[in-house]
Amino acid sequence: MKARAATSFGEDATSSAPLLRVRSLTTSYVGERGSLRVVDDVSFSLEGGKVLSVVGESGSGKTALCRSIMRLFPTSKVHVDGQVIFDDQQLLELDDLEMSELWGTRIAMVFQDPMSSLNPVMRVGNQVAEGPRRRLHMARSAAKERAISALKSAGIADAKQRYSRYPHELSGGLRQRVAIAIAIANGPKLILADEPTTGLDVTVQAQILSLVNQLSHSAGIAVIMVTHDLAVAASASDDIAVMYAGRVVEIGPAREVIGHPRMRYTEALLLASPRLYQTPHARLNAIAGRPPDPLDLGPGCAFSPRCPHADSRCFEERPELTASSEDQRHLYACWHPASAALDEFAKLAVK
Amino acid sequence: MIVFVISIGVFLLLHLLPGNPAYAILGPGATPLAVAKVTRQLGLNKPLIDQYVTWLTRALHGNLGTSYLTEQPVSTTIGHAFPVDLELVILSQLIAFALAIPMAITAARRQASILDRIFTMSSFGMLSLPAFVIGVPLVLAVAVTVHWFPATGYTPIYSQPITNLHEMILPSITLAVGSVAIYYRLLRTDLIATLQEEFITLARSKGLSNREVMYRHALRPSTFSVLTATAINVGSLLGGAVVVEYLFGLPGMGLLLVNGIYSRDYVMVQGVILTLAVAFVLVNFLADILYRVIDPRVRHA
Repeated sequence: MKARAATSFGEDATSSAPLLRVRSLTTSYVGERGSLRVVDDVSFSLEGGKVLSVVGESGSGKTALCRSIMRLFPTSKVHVDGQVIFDDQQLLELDDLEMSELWGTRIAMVFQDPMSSLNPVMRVGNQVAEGPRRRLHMARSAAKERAISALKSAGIADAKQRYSRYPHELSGGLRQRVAIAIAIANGPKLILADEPTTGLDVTVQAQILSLVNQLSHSAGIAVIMVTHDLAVAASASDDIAVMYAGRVVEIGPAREVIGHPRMRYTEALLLASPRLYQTPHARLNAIAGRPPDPLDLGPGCAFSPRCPHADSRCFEERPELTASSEDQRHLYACWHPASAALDEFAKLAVK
Repeated sequence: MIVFVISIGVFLLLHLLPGNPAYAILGPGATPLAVAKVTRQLGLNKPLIDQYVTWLTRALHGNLGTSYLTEQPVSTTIGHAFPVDLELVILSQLIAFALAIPMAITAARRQASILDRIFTMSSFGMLSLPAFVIGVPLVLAVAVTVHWFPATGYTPIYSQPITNLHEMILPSITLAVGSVAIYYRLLRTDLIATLQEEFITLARSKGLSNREVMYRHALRPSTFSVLTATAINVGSLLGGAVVVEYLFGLPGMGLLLVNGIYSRDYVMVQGVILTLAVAFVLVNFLADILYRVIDPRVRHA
C-alpha cells in the first residue's frame, strides 16, 4: 500500500521516469548496543530540476537518509536496505568502486559547515578544480577554467582572484559558494545538501537558497536539501518531506505541506515557529517532550507520546502514508490528521 | 636573543665550576708561579664581565679561542666535528621519515588492523630501546659477521662520498630508530584525527580514491606534530648522539663535548655548546618557516 502511495507521488503530469526513486530505504547503524535503525522504510521520488527539502529535528534521520543515498559513511558499520534507483541504476547494488565513480560526477554533496568541509591548507580554486582534474581527467588549465566558471556559477563575482584564496580568507557565505562550486564543477544530476545554510546569517542564507534553486532549475539538477528549518524548506523547495524518528511522516508539494499540514507533528512544528506578528516575549508553542529514543520505539506512531491528539490507536498501530483527498501528491501518516489550513504559512511557500 | 642568553649561561656555568684550567694545562706539580703566569695569559685574572665580553666579541668573529689542550683553534676542531653530526642527523631523519610516513599511513588507513598493531607495538619497543642496544647487534650482524658495512671509521664526505655514505649508514639507522617510533606515533594519531574531518568526507564525495584523499588532503594538515618533533629532535641529536658516535667511532660534537668536560677544556666546551645553541635556534627557525609553508593560516597569526 505504501509502495503504491509512494509511486503515485512525484509521477504526476510529466510522464518521464523520475531521476531518483527511493524505495523502502532502511538504514541501520550496527553498534555495541545492537543495531540502530536511523532511516526506516523511506520512499519518495525526485525529478531533475526539483528541490526536495527534508525537514526534521536532530536525530530524525535526515542526514543518514542523504548519506544512505550517497552511500557515504564515515564507518563501515552501516547496513542499508531497500532500493535507490538513480538514473535507472540500482545504487545499492553497485560495488564500492562503481559507486565512487558516481560520486562527484553524477552525485555531489554540500555540507553544513563550509569552514570544516573545505580543506584549510588548500587554495579554494584547487579544491574546485580537483574534481574536473581527477575525475574528468582534464588538463590542468582546462580544469582551472572549469573551476573558475563553476565559481562564477556559484555567484562568486571575482572568481579569478578568489581562486587562489584559502578558505579562512573568505567569508562564510563565500565559503559555502565555494562548496557549491565544488559540487557543481563536474555537472552532477543530483546534489545532496546537508543543512547548507545552517551556519550562515539570514541574508546570506536567503542568497544561498536562491542560488541552489536557480542552479537546480537552470541545470536540471535534482536537489535534496536537509534542513531543520521549515521556513527555509518552505521558501526554497518544490517538495517537502517531514521526517520523524527515521520515517517520512508527511511529504508533498511545499505549498500543500506548509499551508495545509495534515500530520500533527508537521502542524506542531509550524505552530512552534516564531512569527513576526506575535507580541514580544510571547511564549513559543514548543512541542512538549523530547524526540523519541530510537532504540525504544513503540508499535504505534512515534510522535504519539508528544501528540495532544493521540489516542490508544495512535500508541498501538502505526499509521501508513496515505494520500490527501485534496492533492494526491500530498501524503501523510496520521490517524487524526489536522484539517485547518494555515494560510499564513502558505504564503511562505514561493512555488 | 636566545643565543645571547645561552652564551651567558654557558660562560658563567663553566667559570663557576671548581678547578683552574691552568692546572689542567700545566699538569700536577706545577709551581704557583707558573700557574699565575698561565692564568694571566689566559686572562682568567680579569673580572668575569671583561672575560665574557672578550670571549663573545671573538666568538662573533668566528674565533672561539684556542683549546687549552690541543692548542688548536676551537673553530677548526668544531669545523671538522660538526659536519659529521649534521650528516648523521640528516641521514637518520631521512631514514626515519622513509619508514615512519608509510607506516603511519598504513596504520591510520586501517586502524586496529594487524599491521597497525604490529607497527604500534614495535614502535613502543623502538622507543624504549637505547641506541647501543640497537647499535651493537646491528654492528655484529651486518658489519662483523657478513662485512656488508664497516663497523667503525669515518671518512669526510667531501673526500670520498661513497666510502663516507657506506660508513654512515649503520650509525644513521641506529640513530633513526628512536625517531621512527616518535614520528610514527605522532603522525598516526594526527592522521586519524584528520581523517575524521569533514573536508575528508567532502574529498571522498568528490570521488577521489583513498590514495588521493590520503596524499592530497589528509597528509599535509597532519604533519604539524611531526615537524615540531623533528625540529626538537634534530636540535638535540646534533650534540646528543654521543653513544652512536662512540659506538661507530665518529669524531662528532658529542664526543668533543664529553672529552672537553672531562679535561676541563673550557674554551672547547664553550665553543661546542655555543655552536649547538646556534644550530638549535636555526633549526627551529627553519621549522617556523615550514609551518607557514604547510598551513596558510599560520601566516596571519
